[in-house]
Order: sequence, then structure tokens, then C-alpha cells
Amino acid sequence: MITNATATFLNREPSKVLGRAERGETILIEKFGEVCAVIIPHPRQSSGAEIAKRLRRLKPMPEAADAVEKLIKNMDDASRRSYGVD
Amino acid sequence: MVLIDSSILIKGQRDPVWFASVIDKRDDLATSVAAVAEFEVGLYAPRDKKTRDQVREFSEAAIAPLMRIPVFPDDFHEAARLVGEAIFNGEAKPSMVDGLIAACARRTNRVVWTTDETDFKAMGCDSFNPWTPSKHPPGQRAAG
Repeated sequence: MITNATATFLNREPSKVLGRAERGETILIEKFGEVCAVIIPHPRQSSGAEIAKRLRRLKPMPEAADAVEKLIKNMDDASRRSYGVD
Repeated sequence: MVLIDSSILIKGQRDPVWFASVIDKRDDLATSVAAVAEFEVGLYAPRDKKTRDQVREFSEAAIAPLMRIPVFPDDFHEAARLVGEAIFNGEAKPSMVDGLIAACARRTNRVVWTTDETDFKAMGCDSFNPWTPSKHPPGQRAAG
């Protein structure tokens, strides 16, 4: 979610603005009615054990993996062709 | 610290138990928003609804909880330099998305886990391929 806050509000209530960013908001900071800066959330380090637990509940999806692999390969090939250099 | 490329996310979808085994003990994992975006083209492009549903299922279960390194404006300049120099030096022709992933990895001092080590090494990244072809020969499907 992208929201706005004024520089005056940021100056008066910095912890409120940072708290919003920590909760996932991207905040455009406005000064004299124009955006002058952006505060974006920074992700937290993830736990491998937690994700591994979720993975062990999944079935293998080889057909879907093939489809995504083919899509990315096609995008990469198109990108390489577009360079136009030997 | 690790940055997981989309090529490894794909292998993880192919064989979730293998992916679980390589990340289980690690607390230094991340991916890049650029790698996630590349993978998530699969949410929309496949004609087959089952394929789209499976990409969504994997994405929600395994990618959503993974730390995503954001791409900053300066990363685009760095990606352009890394891709351009790799081409100029004749070492590889990485895509711009791989350039953005490499820029994120270099900025955050992370080792790129990828099956495409040539491209990332050509962009000056430390890389590692955790996928073991000997245990996953071409054409073999993981047991379900």
C-alpha cells in the first residue's frame, strides 16, 4: 500500500510514520505539496526452518515448474537477442 | 548470507522436500524482488489454470515468507554496468533481471544460489548451486 505524509507530520511524529513503514506501507513524504522523499518498508530476515516446514507440506509440482522455467528461459533469450551484440 | 535466484525457486517447486532440506538450518536467507517478479510471471502467463494455481500455491507457501531484498534506483545503474561489462568482456549475456538480482546481492554481500552460475560469476557475484543434477537426472520427476 502506498500512502502520503507531510514533512511536517514526519517531523512531529517520526515514530508513527516509521511504524507505518514497518507494517508494510510505502510512504511518500510531501513538502510544500510535492513529493520529496519515499520511505519504504525493509523486509526482515526469514527463518529457513519456518519455510522448510511449509515446504514439507507441499507436493512436487514438476509441470508447473517446467512451465515457469520455460517462461523465464524465453524472457532471458529475448533479452539476450535484444542486445544486438556478438 | 544467501540470495536465492528464481532458478532455485523453480527447483524448489519441482522438489519441495529437497528445497526444505537445503534451507532448513539457515537463518540468512533472502531473495530479491526482481527474482520474485520473474517467478511470478508464472501466476499469469500459463494457459492452464492448474499450472497457475500451483504457481500461486508455491508462491504463497514458500516465497511469501522469504525475505525480499528491495531494488533501489541505484541498483538499476549498477545492473546496467554489470550486464554491460559481462557482455563487453565476452563472459556472458545476462538478462537485465539477473543484473538487478546481482546488484542486490553485491549491495548486501550475499552469495547467489542459482543454477546459472556463469551469468552471476560474470557479474562479479559469489555464487553457489545447491541443486545436484546427479540426484535429479533430466526427465526424472520427483516422487509425489
